[in-house]
Order: sequence, then structure tokens, then C-alpha cells
Amino acid sequence: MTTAKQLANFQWPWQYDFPPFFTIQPNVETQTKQIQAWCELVLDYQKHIKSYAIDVQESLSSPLFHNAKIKRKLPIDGVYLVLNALKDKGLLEWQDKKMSRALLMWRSAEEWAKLIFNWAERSGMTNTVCTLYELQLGNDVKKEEFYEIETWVLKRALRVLEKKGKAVMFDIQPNDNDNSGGVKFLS
Amino acid sequence: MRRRGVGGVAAINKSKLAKAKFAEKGTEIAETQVSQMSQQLEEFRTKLSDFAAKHRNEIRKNPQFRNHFQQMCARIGVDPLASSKGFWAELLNVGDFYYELGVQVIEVCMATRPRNGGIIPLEELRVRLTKAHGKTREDVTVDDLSRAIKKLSTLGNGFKVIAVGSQRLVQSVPVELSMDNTAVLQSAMDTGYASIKTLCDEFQWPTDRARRSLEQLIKEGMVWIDSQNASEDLYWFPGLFNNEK
Amino acid sequence: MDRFMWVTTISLIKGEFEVIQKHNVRIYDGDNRTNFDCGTLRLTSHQLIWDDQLQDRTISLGLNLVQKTEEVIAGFNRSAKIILYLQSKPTSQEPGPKISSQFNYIRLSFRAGGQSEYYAALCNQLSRKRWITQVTNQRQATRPSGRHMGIVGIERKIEQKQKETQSTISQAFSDLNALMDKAKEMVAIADRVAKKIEEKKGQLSDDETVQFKSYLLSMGINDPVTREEHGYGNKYHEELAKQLATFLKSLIEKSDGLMTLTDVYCMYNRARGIELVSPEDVFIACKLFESLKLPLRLREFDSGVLAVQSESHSVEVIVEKITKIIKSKGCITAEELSPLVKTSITVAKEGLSAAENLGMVCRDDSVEGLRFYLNRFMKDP
Repeated sequence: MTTAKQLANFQWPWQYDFPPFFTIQPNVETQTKQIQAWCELVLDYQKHIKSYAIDVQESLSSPLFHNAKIKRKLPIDGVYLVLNALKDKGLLEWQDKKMSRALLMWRSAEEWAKLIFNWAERSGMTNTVCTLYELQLGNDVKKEEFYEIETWVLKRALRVLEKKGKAVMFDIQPNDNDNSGGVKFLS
Repeated sequence: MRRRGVGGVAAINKSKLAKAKFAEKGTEIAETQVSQMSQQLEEFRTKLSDFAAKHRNEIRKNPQFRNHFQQMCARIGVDPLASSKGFWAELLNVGDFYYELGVQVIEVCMATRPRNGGIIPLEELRVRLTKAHGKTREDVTVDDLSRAIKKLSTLGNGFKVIAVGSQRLVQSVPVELSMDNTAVLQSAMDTGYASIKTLCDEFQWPTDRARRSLEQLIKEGMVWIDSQNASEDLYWFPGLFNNEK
Repeated sequence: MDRFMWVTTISLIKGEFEVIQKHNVRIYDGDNRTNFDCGTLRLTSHQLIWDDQLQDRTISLGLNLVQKTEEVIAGFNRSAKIILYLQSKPTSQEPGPKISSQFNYIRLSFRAGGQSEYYAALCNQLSRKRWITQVTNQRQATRPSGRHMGIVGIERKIEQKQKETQSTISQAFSDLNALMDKAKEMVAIADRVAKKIEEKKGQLSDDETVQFKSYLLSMGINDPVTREEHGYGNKYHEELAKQLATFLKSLIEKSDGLMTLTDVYCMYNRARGIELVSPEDVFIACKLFESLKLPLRLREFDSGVLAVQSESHSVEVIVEKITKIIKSKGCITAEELSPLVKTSITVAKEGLSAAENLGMVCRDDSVEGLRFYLNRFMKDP
């Protein structure tokens, strides 16, 4: 559950206080803009509270989709429109067939891959081995944006680098939450 | 040897020839005035030059004087902003001020159009422009903006200033807003929204007429529908939504 | 035309209300063109207010001065008009744009249509004669600055703020008055010459016409008749047209051969940085493209949108492209189309309209928006 404190300095977009934002618009062009704005809001929100998962039922009553100040809520079909739009952008994965939970990356795997590889080059970590643990929580990455990145996101990012021939992973476990194993960045 | 006579047949022929030439050229009267014109023009240019040397700054710094100047010009039938090649623009430097303003107005309107569908209060436009260009420009008044926008309409883009009640809005899309649409705008000016009931009460419209007008505005992307209001649906203008960040 | 009064601040008296307004209305003094060429005509219960769409001036006509009205249907080469027959000007009336007129009627031309609706509303208001019961009411200005924005009024206001510069302001105003007097003379000269030219149609030499147009340009005088008879622009605009053609050459290829005139204005002025050109200069220069044999054209769409089109990329080419896209997508909106053809939404909209006019696509218009589909009523190309 997100607290008011967590959201104290969150920058809500102008649409959030605009009552019709919570009604799915009949005009197709307006709706497209609306959904796009919702997608951006969801990503920014998730990023701010550092959450990678979204539970549909819970989210309905969270500040994200419920603005108590203006008494407006995004209805469930609206929420699904937004989440599926995010899926189409490659930023969301449904965890179950019922679509009750999803994993959300507020950056695509590609973008994470770039950030991580840039860090590797800058810090002279190419051609040496890094454990996944070090990449997530090591002292060297404390100031990086991917600090405390979730294991499943990290693995997807590293897989992107592997495909591009920029890294080699080893001792990786199939479990998404298992962060044992390491990676060698190639220059 | 033929006699060169002053009078007689020769003379008559000569005057006939002269008359014919006159009629042919028929422009002789106009010609005289045209040559007078260039002289007058030079005289005026000098006078304007003198005026400019003394008061160019006043026009730049003083919005009221600027206003008065523009109105006087308009009333005598002269447009100082028509062409950058005109004396006024050249000597008084009013041109660059307004043409640059025109560019900035277009930029702000383009930038805000995805949000407001092409309708923005004149005052909001002024605030945004001042924010964007701050200290580098002199005081820009809503009258200056109105003037710049009137000139922009020549470009065939639908730019116009609409009077709604006592306020002014800027439209930047080539859409024909009907009298009814303008009435809806008026109804929404203070709150940012209109509803079928308030329209029917305020203007004595049948429900259908109110609904049609609102649907036109939804189609143009100027209005969003809000169906979570307790008593009835509300129709909001993002352009009028006073929640500037 | 002499029955009109200048209006500095539009104000409605108690009990007066607005009825209808229309843009792009032209006023004729009797049968003659005036330079009150393009304005918003607002009808209230008491008056007609004409507000210039291009400059800072407004005039009004009391409905009490209208004796009779007539509607003239459009004919061959003539637009539809409303004729207002007027009573003679009251002696106590405020000053207006014309001191006297040889005509006792004016004509209104509705360039953007809507005349019948307006005429009905006008007749309605004329029959109600609401002004009769309110003869004694004074017009109260809605702005606190007072009714007379004359020199004295402004001076007094500024006086309160800037005592030290008062003498400068006074001087500025009296110098301005003197300048305006001279300018008035210049306008009068132009009027006389324009009349002479009209009378001696077709007998004016090219040289004289050029000189006169140059005069009008320098003074900023708009004479619609001269413009219509002798065309736009002069040497300056011809030069500008050539510069624009060079400047736009590569830009226009990037946006698929079509760019709105608004974009042209912005980009060109941004590139210039100083000594900017006016919107009208750009418009006139672009109108000259064809006669100067430059590879660009100024095109006007039904909506009134103006665009510059590359000669090689005619709208027909764009229409072909659009038709192909719709074939593969099934249906499309202007917003969806614009990134696909790399143009602004405005141009995409015009492209779709053009395609519709050529019968290639048809529309589905609902509150959801405007979608276009392939026109299956036509033979498949």
C-alpha cells in the first residue's frame, strides 16, 4: 500500500486533477491522447514508489487510479485499456491468464540494457565478471538508476545484451527471483 | 516646299492629333498625380523618420501609446503591420515586434493544441509567452497579442480572437465555431465545464440542441466528457481548465 | 457608410443582448467597395457592430437607422448580399469613418456564408424595435477607463503614473497627431488616384500601376479594388518569392511536398532572425510562385487552410499514398495518418479531404471522431 508520505513530492500531471480524465473518452483521437497520458502516469508512479508489480484490484483503489480529492476513479475497463496499452509497448507482462497481476517495467528491457552497459564501460568493468548481486546492490552501483533493480528486470536486460553480443551470462538460475550467477560485459 | 503653317488645316490636324493622343493615353491625368505621389511619399517618409527618431522608444515601451497609435492608423485607413516593406515597419520598427510575437503565438498554440483542441484564453496565452521569453522582451499586452493574431489569420490557419462575454479566447484551428458552440464556451468560461441542463436553463434550448452542440465540440477535441458527476454528465474544456502548472 | 460610428470599447446598454455573429463580412458603401473588407459582424437587439478581423478598429450602426432591408440572392459572379436602407444621419451622432456618403444604403456580403440565418435574425430584431423603449439609456462602457479613449483620457492616466515624463508624452501625442494628419492626406491622394485608375480601366501604363502599388505598399494602404484588378505584390515580393523558393526547397521534400503556410512563416522568420517578414508578405510572395515560374504553388483547401505545395508532389500523389495506406489499414484518422506521411495533422486532414473529393475514400463521422475508409462504391483502382 502506498502512503501519503511516499507520494508527497510526486509530480502529478495536469490531467490527474481534470475530472474527465477518469472517463474513457468517446472521441477516438482524444481517447488515444488520454490513454497515452495514463500510460505515462502509471510508469512515473510505479517508478516513484519503486514498484514493479501491479495488482489490478488493489490498484483500483490506490491513489493512482482513484483521485479522492476530485472524487473520480478510473473504471476497471479503463484500467485494462491502459495496462494492455503498456503491454503493447513491451513494458508490461501479465502474470496470469485472468490478468489480475502484472509485472511492469517503467523502463523497457532495452533501455535498462543500455544504462547497465554504459555503466560497465564507464567503470572499466568490461571483460571482467560481475555477479548479479553486485549489479543490484553493490557499492559501485549505489548512485546508478538501476540500483536495487529487481532480479527479473535485470535478467531481461542482460538477455538483451547477450543477444546483441555485448555480454555473456553464466550460472543463471531459471527462477526469475534467483539472483545467483554472473555476467561478463564484452567490449 | 510645303508651308509649315501654324493655323489652317495643319493646325486643326495637329490639335486633332493632340486630342487623339490625349484620349489614347487617357492616363495623362493619372500620370500627373502619380508623379506627385512619389514626391508626397518622400515628404511623408521624412516626417515619419523624424517622428521615429523622437518617439520610437515610446512606442516600444508604452503599451497605451502603442494602442493609440495602432487605432489611429486603423481609423485613417493605414495598416502599419501589413508589410515589413512598409514605411511604418521600416522606420518605427513595429514590424519585428509583432511578426516575432506572431511566431511565438503560433508556437505556443501548436504546443498546447494537443491538450486544448485549439482553444486557449488570451490571458493564458500571454502568461505562457511571458514565462517562455521572460526578461528578454518588453511588456506584451493582450492587445498586442490580439493585433499579432489578427495578422496571422492571413496565413489561412483559422487563427482568430473570439469574444466570449467579456473575455477573449484565441482559436488556432480552422474550425467554424457556430453561435451555439460559442454560447457553450460562454457557459463554461468560469467553471471550465458545461452541462446539458445548464445550457437548457441558461439559453432556453431544447435538450437536443444542447446535446448536438456539445457533441460537435467533442468531435473537435475541444471538450472531454465526465460521466462520474453525481447529477449529470459534465462536458469539460481542457482549454479553460484553470490548473496551470 | 456615414451612418456608422467609431467604437472604442464595445458596450451593451441595459436590456441589450447579443443575437448572432458572423465572421468574414464585407461592407459596401452603396455599390462601392470600401476597405471595411473583412470583419466580424455582431447583431444585438439594438445595433450592428462590425469588428475588423485584421486591424484595431470597430464601427457600429444603430438598428434605429435602418428603414428597410432586402436580401439579394447570389448571381453569376456576384455574391449574396443584404441591403440596408438607412435614414439620414442624426446630427448629434458620434463621429464615424465617413463624414458623408452619396448613398443612403449599405450592402453586406457574407464571404463565409450564413447569410440567410443572419437575415432572419436581423429582420426579427428590426421588427421588435427594442431600442424605442430605452431611448434615454446611456451606453455605459464596460471598462472603467471611460467612454472616451481620446488623447485627453490617455494622457490623464499616464500623468498619474509618470509625472516626470509628462512633457515627453504630451509631445509624443501632439507629434503623433500631426503625423496622422499628414498620413490622412496620403490616404486621400491614394483614394483619388485609385478612382481615376478605376475610371480609366485598362489605360494605365504598367509603370504607373507599379508606382501606385509601391505607394500603397509603403503607406500600408489596402485598396481591395487595386489588388483585385492589378494583382498582388511588386519587386519586393518577387524577390521574397525567389528567396522562399530556395529556402523551402529541401524543407518541403522532407514533409512530403506539402507544408502549411503557417509553418512556412514560422520557419522562414526563425531562420531570418531579424528584419522579419509579415504574414501578408509571405502570403503575397507565395501567390507569385506560379507567375514567376518557380517550382512551388500556393494551394487553398476547402477549409480555408493555405499550404505550399511542391510542383512535383501534387496533392494527387499524396492522395495515392493515403489510399494505399488505408487499403492496408482498413480505416484511418488524420491523427493516425500524420506520422505515416510525415506531415502535420492539418496537412493530413487536407489530404484525406482531397482523397474524399476525388472519390477514393469516404468518411464515417461520429462523436467518436472522423474516420476514413476506402470508397468501395468506386471501381477498385
